[in-house]
Amino acid sequence: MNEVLLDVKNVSKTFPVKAGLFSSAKGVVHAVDNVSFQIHRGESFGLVGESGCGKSTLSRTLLQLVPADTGEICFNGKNLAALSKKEMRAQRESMRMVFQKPFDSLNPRQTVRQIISAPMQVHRKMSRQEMDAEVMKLMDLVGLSRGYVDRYPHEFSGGQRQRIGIARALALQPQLIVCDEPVSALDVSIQAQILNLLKDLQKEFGLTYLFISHNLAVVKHMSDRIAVMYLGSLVEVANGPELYRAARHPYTQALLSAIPDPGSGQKRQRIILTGDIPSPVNPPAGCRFCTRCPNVMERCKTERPTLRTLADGGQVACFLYEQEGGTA
Amino acid sequence: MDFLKRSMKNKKFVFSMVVLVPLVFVILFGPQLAPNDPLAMNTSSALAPSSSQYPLGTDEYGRCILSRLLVGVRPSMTVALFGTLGAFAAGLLLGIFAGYLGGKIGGAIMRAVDVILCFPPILLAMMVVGLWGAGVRNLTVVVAILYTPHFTRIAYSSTIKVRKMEFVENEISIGATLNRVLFGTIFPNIFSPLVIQISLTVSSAILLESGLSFLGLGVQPPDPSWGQMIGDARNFLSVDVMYTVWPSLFLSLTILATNLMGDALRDILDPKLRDSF
Repeated sequence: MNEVLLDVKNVSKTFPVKAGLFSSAKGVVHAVDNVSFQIHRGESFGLVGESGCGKSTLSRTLLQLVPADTGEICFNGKNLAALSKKEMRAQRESMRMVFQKPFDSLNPRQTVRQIISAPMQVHRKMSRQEMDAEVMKLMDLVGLSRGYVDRYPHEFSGGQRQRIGIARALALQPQLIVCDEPVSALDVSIQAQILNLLKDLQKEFGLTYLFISHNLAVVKHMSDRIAVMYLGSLVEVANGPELYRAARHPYTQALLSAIPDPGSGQKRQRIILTGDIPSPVNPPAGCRFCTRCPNVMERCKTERPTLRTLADGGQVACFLYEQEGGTA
Repeated sequence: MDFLKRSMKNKKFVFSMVVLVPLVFVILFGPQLAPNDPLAMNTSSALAPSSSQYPLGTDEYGRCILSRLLVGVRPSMTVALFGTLGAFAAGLLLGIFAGYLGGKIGGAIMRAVDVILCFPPILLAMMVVGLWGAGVRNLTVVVAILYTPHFTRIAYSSTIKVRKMEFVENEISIGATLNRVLFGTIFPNIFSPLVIQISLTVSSAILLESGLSFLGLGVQPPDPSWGQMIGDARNFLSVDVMYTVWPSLFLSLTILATNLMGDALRDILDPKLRDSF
């Protein structure tokens, strides 16, 4: 395995909930709850979970757009929270983000040229010619016609805008790109184009992705390793093919059984979860999943399982697998 | 170049230029253009109709109305333009910081600005005049203070709307400085409502100047200003209608032109509306 590029240790993030104008905080939303994982250089790390489980908050804490409450985020061995503002700004040259909403992520007042060259303007003193050459190279890479360079974002379709966003993220060759649901706002036919573009770019530049999605098929296509998130915490981390072949955590199993299978015509065993997701303001005391788990035990309701590494390298947070080897 | 070409295609812009360019000329060279001494009285020909000597007639003291209009534009427009610009600059800075920082600091800035809204304009003007004396410069300061809250509130609410958008997040994520985020990214996106407010404020500042001059808090007689002239002419409405009509006409044209200018600027600067007029 390659060296560790991003090391996330016990990161938590809560937001206060205000009851009204004059009252103090009523409670806190546990958006991200004690999450740890590592991303290795050159891999594509998938993060799946249903809406509201804290995927986007997690991605924003990783890039220090919102500060984490506790825990450590190390990028290239440097603890990001401990850096000065200036050092952090320099780090941002090598970590980028591709955003979810293509209609929201490009400044409507800037031309494509200005948008793509923004990272160069911030980090490098380049002459106009150098910058233009760089912008043209990026436009070619993401498959945009060079003639579009002086147009404004509203003149493009969603897929084209996402290409602009990707070109902007690629400027200055970053090491890590966080893709926050980059295709969820696009048509299915366009989704495939953008995903393949991302894959090709990864091969060409040896990029590292953190790929966030709620779409299981998309994550399967894109990721080497996959983490499954439920209610702010990770329940399972495994290599892609293994996760889809033999999911361990009951939540992952239920999730995978919900993927429609139009080909086989066979009826599959569908695991149907009952009840709603508990409120993140007041999560269950023990295992986060204990209110809906089909295999729930008495112990799950009081004690919280930690993410344990099993013999084959997969990690799961469930008492069912405590007997299997590995370390906590 | 592109900007100029687009501007010339915009009818509102062209019209406002037709009015405003000569106006600027008059502001600069009014005293030299005046056919008569604006202060010279000639009581034998008071309230005279237009003639070759007095192209627009005379006022109640027999002073040349045209000359007084040409000279009186300067105090009115100085107060209106500089007062508005001051209010715009102060309001933009306060509002954009309050909106971006939010929380307690933002709240404190906004409440401080709201206090100004509690003062009746005339009262504030009288206070300033009482402290520092009457005159164009002090009146400009009064106008700037009075209209700052309007700009602050607009800048604040627009900033709040824009700062949560992903393109602002992206600027931060690529390592942009606070300065670049506020004035490079957010400012162009909150500019349109502020431009509209500028043109509205210029017009109401001209009216406020008139009102204050009328009360004797602005330009001191016998020096002319447009507002003061309208105030004086009001008393002679039944005797000489044109005395009121001339200054009012010039004032209305100026206000119309600044309003249209604001409209046109918004259209020209918004890339989405670029080809639509």
